[in-house]
Amino acid sequence: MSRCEKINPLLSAYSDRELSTTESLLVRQHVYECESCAAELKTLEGIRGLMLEMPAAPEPRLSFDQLVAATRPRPVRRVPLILTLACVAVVASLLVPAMMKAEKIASQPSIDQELRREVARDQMIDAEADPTSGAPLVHLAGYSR
Amino acid sequence: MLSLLKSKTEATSASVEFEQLMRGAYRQAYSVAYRLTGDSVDAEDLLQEAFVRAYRFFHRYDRSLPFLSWMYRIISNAHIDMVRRRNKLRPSSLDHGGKDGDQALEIADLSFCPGVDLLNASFSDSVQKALNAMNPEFRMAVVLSDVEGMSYEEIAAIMETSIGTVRSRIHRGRTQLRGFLLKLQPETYGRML
Repeated sequence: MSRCEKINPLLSAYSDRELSTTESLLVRQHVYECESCAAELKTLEGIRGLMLEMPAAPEPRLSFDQLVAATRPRPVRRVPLILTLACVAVVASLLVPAMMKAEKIASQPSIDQELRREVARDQMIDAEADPTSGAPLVHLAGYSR
Repeated sequence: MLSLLKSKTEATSASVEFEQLMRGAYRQAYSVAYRLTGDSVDAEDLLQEAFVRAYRFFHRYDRSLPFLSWMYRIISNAHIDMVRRRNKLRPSSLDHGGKDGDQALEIADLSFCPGVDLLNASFSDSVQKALNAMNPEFRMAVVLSDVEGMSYEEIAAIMETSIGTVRSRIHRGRTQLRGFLLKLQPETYGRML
């Protein structure tokens, strides 16, 4: 960043005497050496001069009382209590059964899980193992599959 | 019952205080509103909006801040809201400006108001027109500094920002102002600025 780029944003505050002593000295020294920044400072002071020369605002057309009388606070939209309660009831009647149903579905084993369990049970029986414990089946005398 | 009466009395005294303060601040508040809007009708609209807001939030008014400064803060916020609302309705707006709205110079088109003969505008008219075309935050900072003669510290308190931001807004505001004036009347202001 060049010296001018650093100094330029300070020029308005410098002309308003709103800089610290150190900053003011920096700007003053730079403006003394740099023609471009000196011209910029002159322009900004010209702008400030134009603002100061602006005539005062005209008298208000309305007196204070007239303006207050013409001021109407924006109505705050209030929803009637009964309507609010009705909305809550409708939403609740829709949401609660839906939530209960969702909970029921989540607690039930899926078809896929059930099928997998059945296949595993069949495989165990085929392997002559107890489907619950997996222990080998003991064939009792006189009993055949 | 007693507490109800007490709160009612307090509300009445607050209303009386509010009215007294508003009455005292009216002329200066109007002056700033006029400089910000550049038009009597718009200034009245802005003041009405500011009055309603001030009345609604009067219980939050911090007595350590001068009432006029508090009103300027409300006017400033109401003005920025008003400009943004209007810009939303315009086919060409300042919406494409940068984060700080510093590209307003590129976008604002004063010929948007048909029938306005810019070349015939008087000296102060053109300054007011250039002010109107500025970014609202910059405009507020410049008006408070150059028209109301406030210090950067006071402006920072009103605009609820840092002194560094005020410094930047005033500088960029004046730079924008020069750009607009040169655009409006290049021959007049080309020699001066």
